[in-house]
Amino acid sequence: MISIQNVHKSFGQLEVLKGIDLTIERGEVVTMIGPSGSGKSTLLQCINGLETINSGEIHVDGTSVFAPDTDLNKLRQKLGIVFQSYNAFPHMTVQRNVTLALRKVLRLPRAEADEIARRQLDRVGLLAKADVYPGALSGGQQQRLGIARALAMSPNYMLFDEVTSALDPQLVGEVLATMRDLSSEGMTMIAVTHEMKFAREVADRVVFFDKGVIAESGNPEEVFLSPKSPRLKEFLSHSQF
Amino acid sequence: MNDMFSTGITPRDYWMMAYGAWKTIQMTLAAGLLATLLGIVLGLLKMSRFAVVRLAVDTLVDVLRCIPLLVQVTLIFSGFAVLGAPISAFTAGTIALTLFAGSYTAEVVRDAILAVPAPLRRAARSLGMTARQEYAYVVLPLGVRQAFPSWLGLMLGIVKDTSVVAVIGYAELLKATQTIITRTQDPLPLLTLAACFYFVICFPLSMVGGYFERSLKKRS
Ligand SMILES: Nc1ncnc2c1ncn2[C@@H]1O[C@H](COP(=O)(O)OP(=O)(O)OP(=O)(O)O)[C@@H](O)[C@H]1O
Ligand SMILES: [Mg+2]
Repeated sequence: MISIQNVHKSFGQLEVLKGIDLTIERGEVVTMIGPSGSGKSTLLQCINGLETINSGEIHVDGTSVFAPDTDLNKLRQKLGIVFQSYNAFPHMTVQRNVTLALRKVLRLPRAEADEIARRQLDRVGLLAKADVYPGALSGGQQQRLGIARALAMSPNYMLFDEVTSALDPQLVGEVLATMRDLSSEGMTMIAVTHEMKFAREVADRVVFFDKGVIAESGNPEEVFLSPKSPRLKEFLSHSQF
Repeated sequence: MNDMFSTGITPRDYWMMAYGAWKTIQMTLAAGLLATLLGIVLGLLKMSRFAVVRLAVDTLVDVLRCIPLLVQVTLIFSGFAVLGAPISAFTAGTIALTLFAGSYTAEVVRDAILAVPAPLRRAARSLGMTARQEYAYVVLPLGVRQAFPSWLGLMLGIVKDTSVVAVIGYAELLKATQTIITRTQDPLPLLTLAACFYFVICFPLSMVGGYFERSLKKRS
């Protein structure tokens, strides 16, 4: 379970998160929608401690992310995260991208790491590309590599931050399909997305972010078909789904 | 050949120049290695969390880059002598070249590290890597690729800059050449020969460098 309690976060004068409360149960799929700059990416990065918070609490499986005695490197192994930008390590083959953390962080023997990597690459449809460098991959393939790399660590949670928004339209589908597969396998997921159709179909719960607060949340039908707040109505009127 | 003999260059002179070239290579190797190490340390300190450290290093680097190498070499050589702890021309020259090239290397190192995209570094940390692992497996390898061409340029610069150390009597290639010229009074053939020696030292370096650079590119 990820529990976020009354989280406030500022960058200098700018308050980006203004009291966020959110709980994600194991097995749940939560999609996050909301206008640009509303703090979605910031919240995801706070969950795995890449950003600090000013006040409040975040717990992952009972461990406080910001307690001084928390081993963040250990905690991050439970949280897979994939970003909007392609983040493959360009100097390593596709397979080594996946095995690096298995070998260096989890300290698995080479054979075992290779086997896990090949299994995950197969799962996202990249096994044939195992020995090429990421530069030779399309954007969609790079994002699937990012997903495979995160999954290889056997995380309890997967966080996705607009992983399709830098992609050419014809490549979006393959990445969303991979995420759908994951959700149907029971992975706990938080996905920030601008793909409203996807947000609606895959989610158990949809969270609407606006100006640093969760302005509305609920099951997909409630949020998409009978939005209550004017801001959400307005936001949805600008998106197709 | 006849023409050469008429200029009064003896076989012994060739040996003297070859020996000078060897001394040039020695100083290049020593200063190149030390300048690289110094550059890495200064480059990292340039990105220190502490403003005082950054300011101190920036000032040092600016000072070193503003004073002509000739002045630095002479100052270091005579400075130690005046202080009553004279050092050899080789040591003085190596120190001066190390400081001089090291200050440029520091810039190269810093720029290379800053060129590693922040999202890649965040990705490394989000996989559970420690800051040290992030540096070892992501920042360093990518930084080296970035820095390599400029670094190689600095090393080739050291080969040529060793000639400055002639002023304090270090008998490297140029000094050896000048000594012979004083006798023969005919600078043109000897300087041409010296130029060839410099080329022979530099060319393999830039060949190997070019090859290395291409093979790095192929793998990314
Ligand atoms: N490192 C930072 N330093 C200063 N300001 C930042 C930083 N990161 C984000 N911000 C600001 O915080 C606000 C929220 O940013 P965030 O990226 O979380 O929004 P978002 O909801 O993910 O938006 P988008 O849909 O455009 O990705 C923005 O105004 C942004 O400019
Ligand atoms: Mg964002």
